[in-house]
Amino acid sequence: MSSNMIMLKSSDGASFEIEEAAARKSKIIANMIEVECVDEDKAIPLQNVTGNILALVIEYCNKHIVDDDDDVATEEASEEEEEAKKKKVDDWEAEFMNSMSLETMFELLLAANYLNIKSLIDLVCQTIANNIKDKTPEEVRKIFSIENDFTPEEEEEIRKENAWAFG
Amino acid sequence: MKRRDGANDRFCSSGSMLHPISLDLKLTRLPAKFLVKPHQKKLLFHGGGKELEDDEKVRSKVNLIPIDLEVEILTRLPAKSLMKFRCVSKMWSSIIRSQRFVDSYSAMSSTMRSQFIITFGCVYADNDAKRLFIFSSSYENEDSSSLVVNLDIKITPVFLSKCYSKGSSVHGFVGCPNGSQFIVCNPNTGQVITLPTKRCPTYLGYDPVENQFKTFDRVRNHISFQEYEDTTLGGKESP
Repeated sequence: MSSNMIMLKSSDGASFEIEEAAARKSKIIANMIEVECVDEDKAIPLQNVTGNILALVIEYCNKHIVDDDDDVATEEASEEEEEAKKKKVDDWEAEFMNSMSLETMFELLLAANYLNIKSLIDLVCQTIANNIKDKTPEEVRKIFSIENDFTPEEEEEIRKENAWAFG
Repeated sequence: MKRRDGANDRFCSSGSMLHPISLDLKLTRLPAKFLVKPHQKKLLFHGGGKELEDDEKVRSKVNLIPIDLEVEILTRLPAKSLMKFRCVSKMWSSIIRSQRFVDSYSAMSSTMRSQFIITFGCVYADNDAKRLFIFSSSYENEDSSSLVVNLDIKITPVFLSKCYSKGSSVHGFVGCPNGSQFIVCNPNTGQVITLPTKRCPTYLGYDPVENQFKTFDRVRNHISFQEYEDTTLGGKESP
């Protein structure tokens, strides 16, 4: 079953072939497969995901399909092997996220959310959090395009209250 | 029992950011349907000047980030950053201070950021040189017996008395008597508040039902009973 291939089509018309097992990382696609609304020779259209982002999602899914297969056959694997494997995945994830701009991360987050891939949402959220944790409120407003709706007095009040956090 | 509510309003903010030595077993890790009010996001610039084109492009994408994903990101920030980002917007401030966020944050912390707290003071130094140190440490690796210890707070000068200068850790806070004062610290955020006491033994307590921190002054000490006066710290956040 895992050798079945599925076609995905991005919003800008690019087609991607992906193993069913990898595609199942997405709950949405897994559900579609369950209810048999995936036609074998028809691509699944993903309206909200562009080709470049979909390529990243697929890269991630392909990398993680291996782990899930291993879960089934874990029993013989020793703890050390497990740990080494986990480290390898962590390293890969760090490398994977490292090359990305903040803008791409947001797009990837939206795609992961749309496709409902929990582990990818976790990964991207954590990376964005690491990215913004030392930024100033002004920079964060800009990144999230949030309008400052505090009056200068109110803002000053909060800053005073939390002066120790601005050090 | 007398009660003095809201002993120190500043405490509200720190009250919400406790790091758990958590009894909090409900692993409601994901506050998915958090606050469904529409965000006050707007494009900061209208009219699209030339120099803004790139910005606009980024904005239009980021603008789609739903509030529950923003909450997901916030849940993964260190407490100090959260306190800083309270002044990003009213929405962020109310998310960060909401009980629901605090609950999911501490549930998350208990799975990811196990931590313990060490306090000690040098009580035998001269008065001016007395210090109270609070360290925290988290297990990086279960196999390792060594720990990475961070110095979180150094309070100086303190007037620790020799007999009961132990700092006690309660639900992530540390309470420590300091002469006529009582110090409550949040090692996670580095926040320290000082409360007046009646020069009698004072203890810090946590009420998991009401989710409140209280200090207790032992005002009478009989053989058969002890009488305490409690002070509730901070206000309860509205859920």
